[in-house]
Amino acid sequence: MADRSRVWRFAVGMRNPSQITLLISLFFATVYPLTLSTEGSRVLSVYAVYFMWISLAESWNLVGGYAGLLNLGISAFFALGGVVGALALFDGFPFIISLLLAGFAGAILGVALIPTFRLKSFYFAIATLVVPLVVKPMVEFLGNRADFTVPQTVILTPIGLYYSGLVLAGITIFGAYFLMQSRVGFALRALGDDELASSSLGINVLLYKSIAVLTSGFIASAAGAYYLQIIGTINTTLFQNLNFSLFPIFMVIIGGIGTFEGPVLGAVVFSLINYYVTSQFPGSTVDTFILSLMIIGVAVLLPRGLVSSLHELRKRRTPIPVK
Amino acid sequence: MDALLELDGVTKSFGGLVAVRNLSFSIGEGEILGLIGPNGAGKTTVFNLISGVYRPEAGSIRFDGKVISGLKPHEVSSLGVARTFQTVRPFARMSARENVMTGLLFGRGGINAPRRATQKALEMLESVSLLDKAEVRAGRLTLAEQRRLELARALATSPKLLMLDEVVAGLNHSEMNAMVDLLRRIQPERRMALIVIEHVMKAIVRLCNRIVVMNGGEKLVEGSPSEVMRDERVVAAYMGRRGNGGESTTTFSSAPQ
Repeated sequence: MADRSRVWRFAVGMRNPSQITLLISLFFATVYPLTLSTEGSRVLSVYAVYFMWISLAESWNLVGGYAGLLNLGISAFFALGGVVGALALFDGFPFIISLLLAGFAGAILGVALIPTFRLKSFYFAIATLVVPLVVKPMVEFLGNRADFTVPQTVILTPIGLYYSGLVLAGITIFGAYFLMQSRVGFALRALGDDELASSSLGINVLLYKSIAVLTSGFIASAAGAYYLQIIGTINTTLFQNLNFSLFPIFMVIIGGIGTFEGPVLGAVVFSLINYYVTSQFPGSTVDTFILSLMIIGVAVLLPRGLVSSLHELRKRRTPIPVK
Repeated sequence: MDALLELDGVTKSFGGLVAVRNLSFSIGEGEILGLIGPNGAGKTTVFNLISGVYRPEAGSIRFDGKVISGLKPHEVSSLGVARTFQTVRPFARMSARENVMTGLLFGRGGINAPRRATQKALEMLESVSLLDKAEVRAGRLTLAEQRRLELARALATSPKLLMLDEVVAGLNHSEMNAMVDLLRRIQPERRMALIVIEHVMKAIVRLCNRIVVMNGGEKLVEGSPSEVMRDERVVAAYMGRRGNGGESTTTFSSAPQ
């Protein structure tokens, strides 16, 4: 009952325009496929990458945005999820189970980072940079191969791919929202700002950092298993694919670090720009150059991202009166 | 006996430097204790030892009948010890209201749902005259406001013992008086004990029943404010060997920090 009223209040009681925009977008994303013919539904698989990036960016934001821990190696979580997802599909598990198993594998990988929490966040960043280098050879050794291609028969149809991506992104977005509205969210934001002050108020810093990294790892790896559905194969070079480590960070910075709607906006905007730039300069590295310049521009001009800048434009902020 | 906090022979050193040496003192429930001494006397180290940031090398710290030396900061906090910091440490990206809500959610008040903490947080902000700043990001507040916010945030944990590390440092005269008035109003109604580190003697004298003077990591003198200030050893510690005291009862150190 309590839960239902919270969802209800979320849907009705929102004053925040970006939340309303988000709900409307989700609604249109849900009904959009119904407007397509059977032939036309093949276009749906194009949108799958957006759902994937939204989940990955939101996952990075939990740790990097709120808890203030710079994760430079989220590609390791992502690729591990792809591999575990592939292995699960080989063993005949359905897609949804492959997603969950991948998620648990990502959470376990998060556990491996717990010893680094005692160190300053700089060392956490270094540790995350090393994770892909450590996990990749382990996976290759244990799996006895570098290429994990799944048969076409276990791949989802475009409609299935679209809706499972929508559900994945939706759960991630609402999960992040409710997490950040909860006590856990207060702890994460507090320790992201000041660990010593947080612990002096009774916040168990180690516990809440672990919660953040485990949750983030779960989502990132589930997104990896979803990616497997998009491209049908995972190669272990994915572990060290810088795009998958850096793009989520770019997306969060563009959208608004430490906000729950920022990663969504950032993922969509960045993907669109990336698509446009890449198609303008096929087969060259000019696209990377332009994207990098863009990131620097955003970091300098809009350090708190699009969402915060939009909020500032509105200039509301009326204090809630005491009864 | 029934001391709320009891330090017994506590020692802590950093490298070769002994910051706190064989320090013992205690504080009873609802008492206000001043902790003073020249810069580098080890006062803030004492706070860090009590709150669990450092572990003492020797001696023990007991709070409310339990040995707390060796506990982690969040464990000490949940027993009812709160503190403010010499250099303010607000949660800069959170609003003033959310700063106080964090104290409420993790303190001993038993509030677990943010929804139920909102109203209480606003009331607490009102008590430190920050209600009109409730939705402002803490990083944008003035120093005086951040000090009051940090106080409200610490109070939000419902402590039995509150440790204040130079709460009036950097404040102007009227801000200082407002802060002292605030503390004198809040302390009795919450029946909590206070330990106050302070350089500004006016504030100390108006607040404390008893003062512990530290010098070079050791306890130099303990007594009532008037006893302590007449003590020649105290004057000597602040003024150097040849100090003749008397004229400097307002402030021992003109520019702390």
